[in-house]
Amino acid sequence: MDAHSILVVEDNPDDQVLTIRALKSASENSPVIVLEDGQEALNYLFGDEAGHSCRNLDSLGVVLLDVKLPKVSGLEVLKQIRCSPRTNWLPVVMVTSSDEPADLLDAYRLGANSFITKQINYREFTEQMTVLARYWLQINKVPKAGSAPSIG
Amino acid sequence: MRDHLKYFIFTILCLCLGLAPANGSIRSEYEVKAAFLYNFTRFVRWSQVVDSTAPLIVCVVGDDPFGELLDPLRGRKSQGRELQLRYPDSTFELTGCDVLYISQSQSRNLPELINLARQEGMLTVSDLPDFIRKGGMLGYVKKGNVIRFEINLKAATEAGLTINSRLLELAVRVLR
Amino acid sequence: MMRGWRYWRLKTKLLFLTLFVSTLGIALVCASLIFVENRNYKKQLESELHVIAGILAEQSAAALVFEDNVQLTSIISSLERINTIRQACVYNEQDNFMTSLVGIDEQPCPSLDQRLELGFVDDVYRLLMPVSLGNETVGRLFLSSHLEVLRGHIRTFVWVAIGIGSTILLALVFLALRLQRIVSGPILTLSETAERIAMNHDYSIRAPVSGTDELGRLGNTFNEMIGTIQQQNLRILESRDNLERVVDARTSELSMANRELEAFSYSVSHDLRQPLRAIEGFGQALEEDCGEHLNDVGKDYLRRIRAASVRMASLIDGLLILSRVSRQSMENHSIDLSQMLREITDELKDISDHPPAEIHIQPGMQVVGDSRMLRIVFQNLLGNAWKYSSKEKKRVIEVSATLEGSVIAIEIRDNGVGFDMRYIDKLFVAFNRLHTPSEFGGTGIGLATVYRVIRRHHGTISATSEVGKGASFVVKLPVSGDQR
Repeated sequence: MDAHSILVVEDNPDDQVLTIRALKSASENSPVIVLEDGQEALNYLFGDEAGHSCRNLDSLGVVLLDVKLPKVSGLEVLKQIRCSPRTNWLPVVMVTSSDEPADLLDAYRLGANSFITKQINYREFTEQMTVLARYWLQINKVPKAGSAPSIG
Repeated sequence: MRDHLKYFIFTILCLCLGLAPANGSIRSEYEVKAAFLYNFTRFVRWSQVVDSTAPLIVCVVGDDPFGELLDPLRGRKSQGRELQLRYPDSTFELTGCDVLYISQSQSRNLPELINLARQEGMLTVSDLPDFIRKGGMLGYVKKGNVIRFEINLKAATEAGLTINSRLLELAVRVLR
Repeated sequence: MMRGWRYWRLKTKLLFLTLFVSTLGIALVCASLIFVENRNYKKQLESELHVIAGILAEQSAAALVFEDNVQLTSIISSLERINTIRQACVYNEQDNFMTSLVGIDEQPCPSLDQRLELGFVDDVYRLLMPVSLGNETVGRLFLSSHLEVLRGHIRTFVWVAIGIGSTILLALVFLALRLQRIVSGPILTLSETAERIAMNHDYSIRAPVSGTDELGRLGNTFNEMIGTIQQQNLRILESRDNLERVVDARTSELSMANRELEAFSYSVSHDLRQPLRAIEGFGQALEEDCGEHLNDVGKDYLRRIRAASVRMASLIDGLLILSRVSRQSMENHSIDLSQMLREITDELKDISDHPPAEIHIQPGMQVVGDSRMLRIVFQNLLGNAWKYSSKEKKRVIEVSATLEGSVIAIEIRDNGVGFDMRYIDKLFVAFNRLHTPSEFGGTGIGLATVYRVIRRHHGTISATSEVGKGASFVVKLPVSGDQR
């Protein structure tokens, strides 16, 4: 069985490196796709204006979406994901460096599957990522995109 | 109604008049005449008399028909003058008289007396019949039982006497 | 009838008074006129009769003297033409009856033997006049006159008086009504205007004013008064509007500042932590991936870098909490404080239960307030107690509450190291610490946050301590959270 890939949307290069490092130590097989901002994420998921729209999303296991993103915010991206039948099945974990309570509530209202605060202590952060990867990639099941009724 | 009333009043008056002679009839004829004599003096003014306090002298000439009946007059006052009585025997004694009662016995001397009286300003009184026609001034007349009198105003005026009109009103006859 | 006097309308009062006084006046005038007229008429009658009697006496003197009854009767019968004469009798000198004129009454002439009542007797006037001749009395004349003419005269007079009186009264009523329109009309209008103003609170209404008499002046003064009230109202409304505008402006300014502050703290929370996490993360990665290239000194430095970044992160957290408790809106509820304190101590025990702890929490304590904020307060206070008693052989922490009127006082007492009361004024100020980091860790923000939250709950906090003998913190909160 092919390992599902993890889509990470994170603008900060330091965090990109640290996140990838943490995820690799948790699950070496799963590919990690890193995108820099919200617009890029939307383009990846729904296709860009050029028309590359038929990217297969079946291999996606989970999306780690930073709340605070340049151009299009993480919450906006989440909203778009939940609005489209193409993507609304995707498990989305919101990740934030703050513990602003308002964000937490908004995220769940928009249909986030999980919400985590990045720990300052890297050991704890690695632990978070390990647990997260194990749960969403190994324990959790996701439907195939093709099995969902096509609405067009 | 009014006639009825008048009739009633007349009846009463007659009654009253009937009573009066009944009272008067107690008095004799000369009693009344004496009273009249006094009363005459109260309605006559003597213009020749100057002194108003001088006694008023009543002279009875001839036979005295009054007897004592005139005595009450003595001393009575008439118009402020005291009455005095005289019974003169002759014509000469008449001077000073104010009132001259001429009795029936003197009918012969009548013109003389009347003349004198006119000259002297005396009031002449008599019960001689037709006295005033003969020049007398006040004459008694008898109407039935009632003594009345008549007046010769002309004679009185000639004698200088003024007779009160009230007296004239009462007179049976007035010669003017 | 007079009981309702004060409740009568002014109009009625004026009318009543006018009519009462004028009726009284007219009645008095009429009565006195009638009285005077009656007397005058009697006098006149008396003198007339005396004149008549005098003439008769003079006329009848001679007839009396000569006892000429016919003449007497004719004299007296002249009285028949005078219809007021009821009876005339003539008596002679001896008071004997001579003749008479009998009127309708047909009464016999009175005898003079007994005393005769003379003058006004009942309905007749009687007169006895001596008939004199010279100075002598020769008889007497008795006259009796009925007073019907007088009565009729008086009756006519009364009717005329009543007629004139009623005419005057009618005229007076008319006048009073006119007067009332002049006097009470404006007063009524004024009072109605005042009532309308009082009822509608409409101060733009003015009383109609005409003339410059007292009523006109009253109306003008009233209008001026209402005008002043209107202007003052307007001014009050204007200033209220101004105030509202100012408040609105301030409120929008304040909410803008609040939003800016929120945005600021949001970015602080995000952007300040991110580099710290990078420092910490790469430190860790360095230690794990390249540990073999580092000697012990290098590893120690790396550890210190990571520890500093963690402390920095907790400082940022503390500041965020402080700023959040300052600006967050409060939701006041009744809180089971005892339960909350047990939860907090359980958490503390989970973190470190050394040395063994003896915790006494008074059961059943209730407070009113924002539970999240108060949890922060007691987390801080109990955390401090926990922290500063960690070097004792045994932790003893007591929490008790007393009700002081409308205020609940909660005391948290520990057996820790305590502090020097000289520095009490620095206790609740942010970043002021009474212990060195080597003795006890901490940010110096906790008690500042506690102080802020308690102040927002309209409460007070005080602390007493002696070095080495523990500390006591007393939080006083209003029992009812609505108190402001």
